[in-house]
Amino acid sequence: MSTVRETIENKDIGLIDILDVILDKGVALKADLVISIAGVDLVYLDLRVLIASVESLVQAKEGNRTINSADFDQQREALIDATGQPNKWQD
Amino acid sequence: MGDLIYLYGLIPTEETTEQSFPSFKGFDGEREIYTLSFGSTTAIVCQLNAEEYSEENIKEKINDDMEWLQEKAFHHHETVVAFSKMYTVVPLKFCTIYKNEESLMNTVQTNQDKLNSAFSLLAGNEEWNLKIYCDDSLLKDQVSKSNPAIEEKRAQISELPKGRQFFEKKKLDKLIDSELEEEKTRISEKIHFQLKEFVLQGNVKRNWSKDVTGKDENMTWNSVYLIPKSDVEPFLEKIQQYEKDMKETGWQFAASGPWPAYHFSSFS
Repeated sequence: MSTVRETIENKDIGLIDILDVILDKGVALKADLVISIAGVDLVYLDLRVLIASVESLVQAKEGNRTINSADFDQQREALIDATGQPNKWQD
Repeated sequence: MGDLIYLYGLIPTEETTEQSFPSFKGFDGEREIYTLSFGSTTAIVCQLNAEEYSEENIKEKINDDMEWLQEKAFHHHETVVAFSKMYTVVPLKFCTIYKNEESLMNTVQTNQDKLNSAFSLLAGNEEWNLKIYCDDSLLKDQVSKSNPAIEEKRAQISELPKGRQFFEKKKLDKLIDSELEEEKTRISEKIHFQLKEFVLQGNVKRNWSKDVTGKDENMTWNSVYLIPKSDVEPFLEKIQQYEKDMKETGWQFAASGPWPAYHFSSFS
């Protein structure tokens, strides 16, 4: 029988879990000549933005995020309907 | 300009004689990872092209190139994890890069005492993460029914005229919400303290919002523990027991590890 440890150890760790740790934690050994990427703290604080970009990256890879003009027209009409504005784009 | 030195982690030199150093590809995916020994500390490093990996270029990549960040973050993590399985590792932050070997050597030598104490703290121990989630609706129901203060308030409201009842009920909802939050913290804290029986150190981290977790349940607790290897199994079994006992009341537990000891090796 496998131990609880073995079951957990073999689970995949998500990108967010990794970024949360490696961007924020770990030793920062600073010296005069070290390049330290202080800017990554910004990324950490704005984890939501980061996730949005991960999502769009995944979607882009799936290749189903292209909007065709028919979809666009349909959405425009729905918006015009919903807002009750006169249709400026009458063709 | 010479090559830069990317530092993954630091290990005690004495451990390097026990086994041969494995072969791994470095940060650029081409050059090999190797070690540099400075007295009692050995650095796990690789070389990087100074132009391609300049501070500006890396910052730009981190901010604008998610695919790059994903690939390199996984590389850093997987490399440090692999070495953590073999050695006592003080892990470094992502993209800790030195201009040359001398600057790395000076930094290591300046921090030698701190590194020695980090090594002795970490040797034979592992870092584990625990995230606790709660289905608010289930617990709210329970809080609303079993809390005497809420019970009393409800009885008072039922005797008021209809118009007043509406506003008082709104107030009561707010009271239930705050009692719910308190109950969640109280339960999570209790678990945290019970788990401390198995651990050397425990730190509480910030909870993540639903946007980050992508889960329907709220995160109510996020903590990291440094645990002696032999106590990891009973620690995880304890968590499994909580999971079993509390599942029906809407609680979920997610343990992950072993992590390189990122949270227990930092010194400033």
